[in-house]
Amino acid sequence: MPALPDPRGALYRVRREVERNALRTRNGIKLAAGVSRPGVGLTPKDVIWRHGRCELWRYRNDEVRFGPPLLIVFSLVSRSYILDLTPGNSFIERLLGAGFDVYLLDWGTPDERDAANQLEDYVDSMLPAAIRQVCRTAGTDEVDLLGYCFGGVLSLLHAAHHPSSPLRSLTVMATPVDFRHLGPLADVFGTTGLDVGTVLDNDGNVPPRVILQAFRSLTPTAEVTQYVNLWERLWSDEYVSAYRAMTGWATDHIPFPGATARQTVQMLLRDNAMMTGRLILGGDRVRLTDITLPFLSVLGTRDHIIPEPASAPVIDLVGSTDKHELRLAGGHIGLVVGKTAAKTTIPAIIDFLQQRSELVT
Amino acid sequence: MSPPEGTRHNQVMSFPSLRGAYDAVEREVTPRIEALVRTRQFTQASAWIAQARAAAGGRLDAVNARLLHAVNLPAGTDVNRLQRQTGELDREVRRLTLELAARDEERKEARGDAGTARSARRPVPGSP
Repeated sequence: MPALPDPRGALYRVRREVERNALRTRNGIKLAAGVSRPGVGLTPKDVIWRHGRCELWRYRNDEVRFGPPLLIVFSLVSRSYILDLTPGNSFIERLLGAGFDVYLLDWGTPDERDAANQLEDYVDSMLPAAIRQVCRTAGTDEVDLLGYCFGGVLSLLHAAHHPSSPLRSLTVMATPVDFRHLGPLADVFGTTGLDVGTVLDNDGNVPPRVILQAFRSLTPTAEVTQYVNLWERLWSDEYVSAYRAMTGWATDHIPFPGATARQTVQMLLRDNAMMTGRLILGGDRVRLTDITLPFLSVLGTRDHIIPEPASAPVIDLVGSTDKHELRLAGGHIGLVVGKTAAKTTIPAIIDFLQQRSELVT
Repeated sequence: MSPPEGTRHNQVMSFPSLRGAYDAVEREVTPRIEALVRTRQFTQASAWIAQARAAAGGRLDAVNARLLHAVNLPAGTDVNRLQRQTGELDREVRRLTLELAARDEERKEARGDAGTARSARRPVPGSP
């Protein structure tokens, strides 16, 4: 005869569901009303340089133990607060805690004044100016450079085009080099010959909605799953707060400068110039083999935005002898936010940088 | 409230959950949709839609512009064109500003009055 279920178990489940439904209602109302948004990008910082929409931030740190300073170059299509998401879940916070003098180059929100910006503006003009400013502010001769996503592309191009740039090391995270593997959006431009001009907004830039749509097409059912996950854990304040911070960022894209988009599509995508060695910047042939700095590539094997086949070849393309690759079972965002980042990515980057730094007094 | 000993997993998990049903459907459907958006036909259709949208928008703008020009008023396309031209000028000014700053710094360093504790700093690109 089968055993009867324990009535205490049923009572427990009923009480738990009642409690959770009350919390779901409260959190659902908060979400719908848009109140109690989690604060993002809260680590104290100072703007030390401005140029157009671009800003160079220095994060405050009274306990700098390692030099040279670390300059982070962010992507051109999303907002940089993902690197400083929330207190306790911040890539920047961890780097500061490890004793680095951290700077971040944020490109700002492009408008019609940036529509004509080309890759050369970032790689040959603004990035060198930011490096000069960091050296001046920190009183050093060199910087460590770290590029995230498209910021990694800009960092690679800069280091390759300017081998004499005062860089101690180069780290790239989730950085594409083989653009053929970037998914549906790359296919639309790469294989159909679609002109970038067809998606430009009136201000001459690729609008954020196109970028968002492109990212959504990479994982078409992810949004529905996100809502299902949210419903399931709507009772948890912690989950709802993290959900709001993450989805807030994931849907908060910025326009991509039109001229840079044209160059990206023609040179990096159609010509696949990083792989084929046909990179041209400012009329010069640029070779990634000219990068001979200590080099670290960090990539996620579950990254659906920059899939592994798109980012993995970089390690073979650079000419460095001191080069390392860190492949993690994480996604695009998971490299800088969450448990994988906290346990693996950030400690590995800190270790790489510390080994190539000196103690400062 | 903590669950009674031994009840949490054994009993809660035995109930058929909606989540389990969703996961089963999702596992089945997602690979198919992902495969669909990666097909050549989908790519081609997306390109056609983008082109059709742009063409329709362009025609509408042209009609609007003709109407407004007929009464000597500027159209949205004129404003956009002006904005872009101003933007290009702005970019040129910003580029020159940085180039001048780099040259200025190089000149100062050559004179040895950089004013910082740095010594023998390597040249920074951007300087001609």
